[in-house]
Amino acid sequence: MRRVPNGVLGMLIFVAAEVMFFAALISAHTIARSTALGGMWPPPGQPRLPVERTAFNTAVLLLSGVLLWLANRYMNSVPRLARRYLEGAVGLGIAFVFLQGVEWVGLLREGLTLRSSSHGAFFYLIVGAHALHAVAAIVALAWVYLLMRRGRQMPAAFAATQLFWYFVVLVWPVIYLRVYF
Amino acid sequence: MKFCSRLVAAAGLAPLLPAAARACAACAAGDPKNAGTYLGMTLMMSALPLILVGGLAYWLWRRYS
Repeated sequence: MRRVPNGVLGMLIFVAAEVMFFAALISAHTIARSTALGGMWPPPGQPRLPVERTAFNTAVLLLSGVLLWLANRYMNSVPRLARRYLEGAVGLGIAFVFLQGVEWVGLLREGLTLRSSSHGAFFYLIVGAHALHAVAAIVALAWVYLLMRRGRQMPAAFAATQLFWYFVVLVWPVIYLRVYF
Repeated sequence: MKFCSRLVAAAGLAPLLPAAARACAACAAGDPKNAGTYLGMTLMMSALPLILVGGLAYWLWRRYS
C-alpha cells in the first residue's frame, strides 16, 4: 500500500477550498449578469472582452498542462526529457500570464476598469485571482525545476505542485466560458 | 403543551393559505430566467462541497482499502 504524501493530501484539500473560492466568484458573476438591467451584458459603453485572443491564451495554458503531464510521465525513465517538458510547461505558463497582462492593458485603455461597471469589477476580480494563482504555481514549478536540475529528487513536492498547476489549467476554461461569453 | 399543539396545527395549516410566502424578492419577483439562475447557482454551491469532500474521501478509501 502506497501512502499518500502529506504534501499531496494538503494540496488536495487546498485545491478543494480553491475550487469553492472560484465557484463562489463565478456564481456571483452569473447572478449579476442574469440580473443586469435590460439583460444587456456587457453594460452599455463597456468594451467587449477579446474572446478570440483569449482563446489563443487558453490554448497556451492547456498545452502547458499537457507538457507537465508529459514531464511527470518521463520523470523516472528519461529525467532529461522530463526536465525539457517541465521547462516548456513553465515557459508556456509565463507566456499565458504575460499575454493576459497585455490583454488587461488593452482593456484598461478601452475604459474597462474595476470601477467602470460590475462587468469590469467581476472581470478583474475573477481573472486577477486566477492570474495570482498562476504566478504562485509558476514560482512553485520553477522551484521544483531548479531542485531537479541540481539532482535532488522530490517526488512529493513535484506531485503537489503538479496538482496545483492542473487546477490552474483546468479552472481557466470554466472562467473563460463563463466570463468571456 | 396546549401552545405547542396549536403551533403544530398552525404550521400544518400554513400551506393551505392562498398566497405563497415569498421570502426572496430577487428569486420570486424577477423574470423566470433570473429565478432559474438563482436556483442553478444555489444547487451548484450546495452540491460542490459535498462532491469535493466526498470525492476526496472516496479516493482515500479506495487507496487505503
